[in-house]
Amino acid sequence: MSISQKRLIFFILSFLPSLIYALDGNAIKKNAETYRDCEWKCNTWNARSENVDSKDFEQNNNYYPFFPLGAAISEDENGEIVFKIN
Amino acid sequence: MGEDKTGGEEMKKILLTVYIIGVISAGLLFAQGKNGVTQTAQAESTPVVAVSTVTADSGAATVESKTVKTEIQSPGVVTEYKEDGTKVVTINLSEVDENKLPEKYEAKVILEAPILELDYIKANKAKLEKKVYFAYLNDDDLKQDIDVKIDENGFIYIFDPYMGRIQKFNSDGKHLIDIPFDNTRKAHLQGDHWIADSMIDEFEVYLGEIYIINTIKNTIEKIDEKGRVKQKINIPEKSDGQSAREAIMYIDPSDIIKRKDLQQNTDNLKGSRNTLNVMVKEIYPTVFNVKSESCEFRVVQNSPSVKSITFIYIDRFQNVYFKSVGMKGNERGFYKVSPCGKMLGVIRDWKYRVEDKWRDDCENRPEPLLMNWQESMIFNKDGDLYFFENICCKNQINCIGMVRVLKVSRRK
Repeated sequence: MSISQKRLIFFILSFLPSLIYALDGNAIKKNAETYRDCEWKCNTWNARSENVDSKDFEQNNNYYPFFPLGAAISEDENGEIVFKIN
Repeated sequence: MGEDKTGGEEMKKILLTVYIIGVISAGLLFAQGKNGVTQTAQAESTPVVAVSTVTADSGAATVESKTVKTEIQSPGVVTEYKEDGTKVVTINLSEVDENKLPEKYEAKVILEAPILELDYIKANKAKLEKKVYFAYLNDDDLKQDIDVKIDENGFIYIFDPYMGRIQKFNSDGKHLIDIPFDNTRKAHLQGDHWIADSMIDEFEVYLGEIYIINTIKNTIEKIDEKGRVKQKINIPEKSDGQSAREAIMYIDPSDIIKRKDLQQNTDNLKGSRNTLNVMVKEIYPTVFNVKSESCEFRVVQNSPSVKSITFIYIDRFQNVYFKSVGMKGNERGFYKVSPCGKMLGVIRDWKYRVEDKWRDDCENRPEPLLMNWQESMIFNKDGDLYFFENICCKNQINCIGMVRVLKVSRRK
């Protein structure tokens, strides 16, 4: 193998990892761009499981107060359950 | 010639190696690039856990013998005596009138104390001496929350981690002592955030003993009222087949404490916990069997709009407490049933949250002090119900809120 071939292989192997990581970062950034302007909505898939309940609000996790539509969130002055409607 | 051949084979090998590395790299690149953001998004969300109710012996609920005697206890509460000797108490929660039941309840505020910023406390130690207060640290990566327990003797314990103490109160909210513990926290910096390596962030009170729990290091220590460590309890390597150290979420530290005490102190347990003499078994979400020392009966809730009732507590008189999950105010509350099936009273817990007279100085309804209302409402052995609330502190600097404790007890 000639010296020039060995040099070429050396440079390819030397720069390959940095190419991978550089591209990896770019790819992540590119993907993130598409999510940047998305409006995030709480639903039954991404809410805390205890905040999904549509019967009782007393077990809701108040440390993470995000509730999907239809979830029990509170009670009114007559003690009736109040639900998330919008 | 031979040299050329060797050189050609060597070149082939090198090119093959480069090709394999290239293919692997491309694969990695593709996988990471495609899934990087998606994985992050998944980590942010919480998977929905399906919750199912175990309905043991469900067939038994439908097979009933003939009624030989019917007795109306109060509106909405009927006792049926069956031919086979069993007793069924049927409660229609929509029809129950708490004013026509034997027990009535009243509430009073037994404790109100500010939650103050730690820096303010440090700067005003002398001023705050002999005052009851709790501490809070703003923007703390290693967040520690206030917690509350009530022991078998009715003493109230409030976990005040930033001050390194557990405050002990009597059942009427009078401050008794501070139980100190070493709250030296260890952490390391990861990016912009501190990650805890050691931190006492939970506590338990069981059979008059206080346990402090380091959920990061996975250790439990029993301390006395002066904060001296009396015993260290090792969390077992495995709990219900799960590796305890790898999956701390599967462990309930209080369960370990109770199991340990059950093994070592059975006599003590028998002497002080007569609640063990009552058995409550769920037959169906609206049907429970209760077996006390003197009686055995079945509680049936038959209001169509109430989907379930939950067994909550047994007090020292062996009265059993249920909580209903209903939509309307007249269906919701704690229901107290005597050991022989007499409906004694209803505590409409929601009234203490929504009525104007319980609003705070900022005209807001109280918030739960702990994670939710279910955790912030605790019974003591006498059947008194405590509400641990977080209310506003008006016109008070360096104060982020107030701890308010409301005690609902039987009117005498």
